[in-house]
Amino acid sequence: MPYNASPQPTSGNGVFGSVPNAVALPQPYQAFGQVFPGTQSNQTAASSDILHELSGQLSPETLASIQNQDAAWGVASGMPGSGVEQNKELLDVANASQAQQQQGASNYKGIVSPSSQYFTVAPSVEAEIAEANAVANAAPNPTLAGLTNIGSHIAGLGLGYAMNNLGGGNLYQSGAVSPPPVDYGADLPPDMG
Amino acid sequence: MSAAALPPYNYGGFFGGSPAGATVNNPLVPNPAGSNVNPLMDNPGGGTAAAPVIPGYQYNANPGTQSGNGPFGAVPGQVATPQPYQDLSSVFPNLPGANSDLSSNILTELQGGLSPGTLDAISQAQNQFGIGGPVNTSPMSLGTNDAALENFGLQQYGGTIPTVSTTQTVDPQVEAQIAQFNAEQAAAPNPTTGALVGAGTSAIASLLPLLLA
Repeated sequence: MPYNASPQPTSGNGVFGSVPNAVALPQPYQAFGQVFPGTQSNQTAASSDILHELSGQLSPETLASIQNQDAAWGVASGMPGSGVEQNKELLDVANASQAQQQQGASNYKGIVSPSSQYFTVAPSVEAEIAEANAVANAAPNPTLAGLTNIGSHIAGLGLGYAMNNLGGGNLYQSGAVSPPPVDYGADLPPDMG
Repeated sequence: MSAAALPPYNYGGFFGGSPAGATVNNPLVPNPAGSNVNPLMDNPGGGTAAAPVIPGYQYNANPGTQSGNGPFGAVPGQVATPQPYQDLSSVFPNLPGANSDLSSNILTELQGGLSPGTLDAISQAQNQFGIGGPVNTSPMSLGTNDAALENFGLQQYGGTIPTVSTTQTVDPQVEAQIAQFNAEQAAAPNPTTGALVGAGTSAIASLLPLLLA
């Protein structure tokens, strides 16, 4: 399934607009697999190979190869089947095991880094999307918010009207509230007061 | 059971005696604790347990809301900390085992010794080649020395740290950014309650002159 790069808005509509929908996490591993078949199998095999290399375990074929080489060495040196030949065999096994582990460590770095970079979403991007989605999910319904605002304005007007017309007139006319005193000369320059 | 629990091997074998003062772990000696099973055979890599992988893990990039709703909105929900180790495990299946083995190998190198895997490979070779008797597996007997192994271990360790850190842990800056966001949301007022309190305050303020008269 391709990445949905055009999420549709959620609540609200019309003159008040809508709330942006949640943005999905990208799926780079799936996207890569769609254009490069067998990616999952490759990853599984690669990780298995690296695990095997890091274990330092030598395959029976490798051990047999070392044995054959050292047997040939024993014959060439005139000491076939001797303890010296066996010593060399075990030494070669140890060296081959260590070399395999070192190759595994190198391959680990060579595969893990691009796997992370190209097949997973960076934590910073995940967090950025999550924060934006959290804010969008918490946004008020613009239509409801707009209607509520209109209702508040109307209610405020009604309240003001009612207060200004208590007792058949406004508060000042009814005498319920004294108007503030007016000093017409207070704001004039001294020479004009 | 680690190889370190096995008794040191300090007598002659195919490669001669151990250098003075050197003690090495012999994987071929039965476990003195009672088990006759070579622990290295059961755990070829010899690594300790890595962090578990959560099956089907998926980062929640769509948090819900906290208090509030309707026309006044709500407080955004808490943002989870990303789990890059889990993300990477989903595309690199053997990550826990690889991490354990790599760490174990580095540790034995830093300690100037051969890894459990290499010792185990020698044991297997003995069986396959029909070579009996104990074997001296000290580094010097195998054509290297502890200083060389330590130096190589240091290089491996230095090269591994940034790889693991950048691919399997969260950047502290990102962690701090998430924590700050969550702290702000946790401290935010309930928008609905806030709006109602505001409306009530406005109404009282409007009526105050009348009430005071």
